[in-house]
Amino acid sequence: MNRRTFIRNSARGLAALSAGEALARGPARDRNYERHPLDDDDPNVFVFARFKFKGHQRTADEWDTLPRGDENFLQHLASVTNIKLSQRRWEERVVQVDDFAKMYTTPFLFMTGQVDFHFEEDEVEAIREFFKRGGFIYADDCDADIERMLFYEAYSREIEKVLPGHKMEALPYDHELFHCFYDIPDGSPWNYGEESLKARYPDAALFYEGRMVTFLTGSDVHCRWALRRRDHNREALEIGTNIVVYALTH
Amino acid sequence: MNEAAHALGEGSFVFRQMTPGMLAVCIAAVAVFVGAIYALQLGGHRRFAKAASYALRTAVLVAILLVLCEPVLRKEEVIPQQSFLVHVFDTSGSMGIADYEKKPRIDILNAATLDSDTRRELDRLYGPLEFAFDGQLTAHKTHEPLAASENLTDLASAFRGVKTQIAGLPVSGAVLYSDGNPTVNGRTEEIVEAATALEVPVYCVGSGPKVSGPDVWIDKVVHPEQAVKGAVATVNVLVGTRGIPGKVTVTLRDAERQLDERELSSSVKEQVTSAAFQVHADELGVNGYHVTVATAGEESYPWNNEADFFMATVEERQRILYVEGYPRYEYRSLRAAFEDDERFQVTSLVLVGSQSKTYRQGLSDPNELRSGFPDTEEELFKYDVVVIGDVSAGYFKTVQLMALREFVRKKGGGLLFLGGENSFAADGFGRTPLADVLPFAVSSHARLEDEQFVLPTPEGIERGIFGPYDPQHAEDAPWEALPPLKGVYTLNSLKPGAVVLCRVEQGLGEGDAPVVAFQRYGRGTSLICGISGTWQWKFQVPSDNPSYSAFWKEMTLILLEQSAGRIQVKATPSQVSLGSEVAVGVSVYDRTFQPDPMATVTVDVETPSGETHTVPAHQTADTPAGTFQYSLTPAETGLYHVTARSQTVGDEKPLEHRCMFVVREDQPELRDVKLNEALLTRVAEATHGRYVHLSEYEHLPQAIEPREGSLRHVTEKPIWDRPAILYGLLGLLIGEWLIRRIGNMA
Repeated sequence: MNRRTFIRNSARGLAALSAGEALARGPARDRNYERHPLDDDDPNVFVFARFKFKGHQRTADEWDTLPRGDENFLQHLASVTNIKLSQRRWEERVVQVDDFAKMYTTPFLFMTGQVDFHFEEDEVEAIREFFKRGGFIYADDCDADIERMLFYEAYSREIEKVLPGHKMEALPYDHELFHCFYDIPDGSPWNYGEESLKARYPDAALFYEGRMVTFLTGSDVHCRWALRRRDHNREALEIGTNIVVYALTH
Repeated sequence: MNEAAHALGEGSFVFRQMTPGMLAVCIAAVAVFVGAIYALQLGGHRRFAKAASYALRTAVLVAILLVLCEPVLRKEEVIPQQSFLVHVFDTSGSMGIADYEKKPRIDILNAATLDSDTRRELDRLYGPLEFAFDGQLTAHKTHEPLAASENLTDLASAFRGVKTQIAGLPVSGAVLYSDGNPTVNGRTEEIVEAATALEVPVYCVGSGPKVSGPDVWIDKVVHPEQAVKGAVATVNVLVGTRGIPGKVTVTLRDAERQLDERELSSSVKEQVTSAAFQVHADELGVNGYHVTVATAGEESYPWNNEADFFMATVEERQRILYVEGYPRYEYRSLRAAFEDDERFQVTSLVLVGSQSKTYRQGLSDPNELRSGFPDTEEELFKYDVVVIGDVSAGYFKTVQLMALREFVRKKGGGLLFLGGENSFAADGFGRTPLADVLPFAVSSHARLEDEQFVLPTPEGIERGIFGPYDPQHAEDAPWEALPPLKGVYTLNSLKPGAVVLCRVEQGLGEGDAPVVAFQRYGRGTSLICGISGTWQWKFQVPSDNPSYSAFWKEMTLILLEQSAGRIQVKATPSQVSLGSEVAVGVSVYDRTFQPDPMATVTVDVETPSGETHTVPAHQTADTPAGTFQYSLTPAETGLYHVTARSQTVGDEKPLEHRCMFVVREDQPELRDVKLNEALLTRVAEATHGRYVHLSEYEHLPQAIEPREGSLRHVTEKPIWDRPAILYGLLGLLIGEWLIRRIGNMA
């Protein structure tokens, strides 16, 4: 690392640290964003639900990694948008992959992880039906600094099983998702030096009958929300906001 | 005694010498007096003999007292021939149907009214005035036999004609003899209004069989007026069946070929079932379609099994402007429902940020809605439907809401108002120019706490708002598969003209509450949906359930029913029998959608044999400003194409609009043959008259109330001098004497 690179990375680190401190003010589970009084009696509240899938092996960071990231993101969402947010606690927002009844009342699911996994046959059918009814899944691989992203690859493979004949494909940066709330000209945030990873694991989406049903990132967006990674935190929150606004408007 | 009993049925029982109150006091006094004497003088005797003697002696005294009061039967009767009774006979085509005791309806009516005791009694009491009507009212010579014509029934104009004829005469009432089968000006409200204007009671005599024979008929064809080229339009054919168990086949044809066929189940019970057809709008212009229904069973009325309808295929889509208060699933799902229908082009504006940040979608050009909701009528009038989502009234400027009101009133646009926490907040819209436009008082909503099953009203079912419904399989009704919804608001104070499409059941004793309703306002329509999360109907049911998209398509079509461009041509009626007149009406508006009386209007009529006649259309003293008329009597059967053109100062090219009508040899009068007791009862009730069926005609004289102020004479029949009373009295005295003897009483 030369001196120029060292100074630039140090500056980025400081900036990320200050953004992170702002987000980390107060315990993450103590959601102090404005809550809607009617909560889930109101069908118009948005539930940012965590999708509980079955990994091949139990590791520290599987489906339930860093709930604090979700809370930080929702706090940001509440502060910049007028979307009505659910009051449910994180545990109540978990939707298990085989709990079809709950899945069919929760149109937006978020899943993240770092391991390989697969969907069972009945789960494949249930997710296919979920998409056909208008459901949306946002998936994020949580290990951007590892050469091979097992979750990204597994998700791409499994979701193509859900909708045979459809492919996860890189989403061009002029797509509405990158501009519907914030202007994000370069997609989800990657660190300097990760260009090869960005090319291998681009922001990708799958469309069914002309409608985007799922969006996948490999850039560790969720870990940046949770401040496990202290760089590009603001950009991560911004792409997250765009994903939710897009899912609620398209 | 028989005579007295008969008289009692017609008169009233009164005492000449005493009021009933005084008589009761006297009877009580007699009973007490006799009782007191018995108590003092007959101590020690057996209790039964004492009581029986007491009762009989009291009865004797009471009977004498009654006779002394001179009971009589009093009968009050109007002095005959002081006023007129108007007899109005329906002699239209349907009265010639031979389904009443196997004879034509008019023959049974003649038998009942020419030479019957009832008719003689009516003529004794009232001077008869007689009229006959079909499409026109004519004076009828009293006691001349009636004959059915081949013409259509126009009940409303018959009442208007009678009003003119009886002006200034002392009339006690009008008797309408009809099968209640109106085919011209058939709107119930119009008929009732004309009947009420007579200002006398109308007594309706149902002149047709109470139970009609087996029949299959096309009840109604519900279809969009127009479809965008390439789109698929849903056409619902409502088929009525009665007395024919099994199956019926409904066939749809266009001008060249059979398009599709549906089989429906039918039963002995009368029912209306719908058959849904998908019609591809490929051919630009107005297209004619022909529907027929066939059955293998025997039917009494085979002539009402076909109908024609017309649908225009246009290139332009209907434009929808949707304003939403925040990103939500309802917004996303509703946009998708509009986008999935090729007839619509949706442009939307959703508030997304905490500082009025907006997100625009579906723009025709990059500057559209850049500064928010349109401020001017010109900008707003580009759209056909405006949807106000869950957005608070505070978002809009007064000038924008005034433009929106004019959009509905003048332009004939559709306004869809979605109930929600923001749109219903603090009566916000109730104090804006939209308050008049909406079909309910905004402050009257109430949010229901529990999940609610939303059900269609009969009007909603008829319109197929959740899709086709077969009453024979009520358990498969489309709404039965829909989940209960959260976020439902009831609309508790609807405007008088509002039509309710959906309701919720409120529980024991509280009845139903409306949740979706619409009304006409000016040239347009406003519709309120009190369900803030209809997306649940899409997301919580299997993806192949079409109810959600059917619901929103139908709501949008209701909003577009009135929507029209600056020129509109309509042929009335659109189905006519050979020899009848067709009126072609052309309405023309200027750029601000004000009626344009200065326009030059021509009408091209292309006959079925291909000849085209161009004629000018004129305004008349009877037509509203900007409405031009041309009438013709077609000379050949088949489809007629009508093109209206209008040239207005300032327009670069003439405005143009097309329509069609069909001329057939059959009788439209015979399509709806059932005795319409509901209409006749409604007319009778609205005018304080009474409805009787012809089989109960003898009750009519008693039902008719003589005109107020008529002179009456009173007759009395004495009862007190009847021999039976003397015999009764003697019997009581003998009985009393025997008891005294047997009981050894003094």
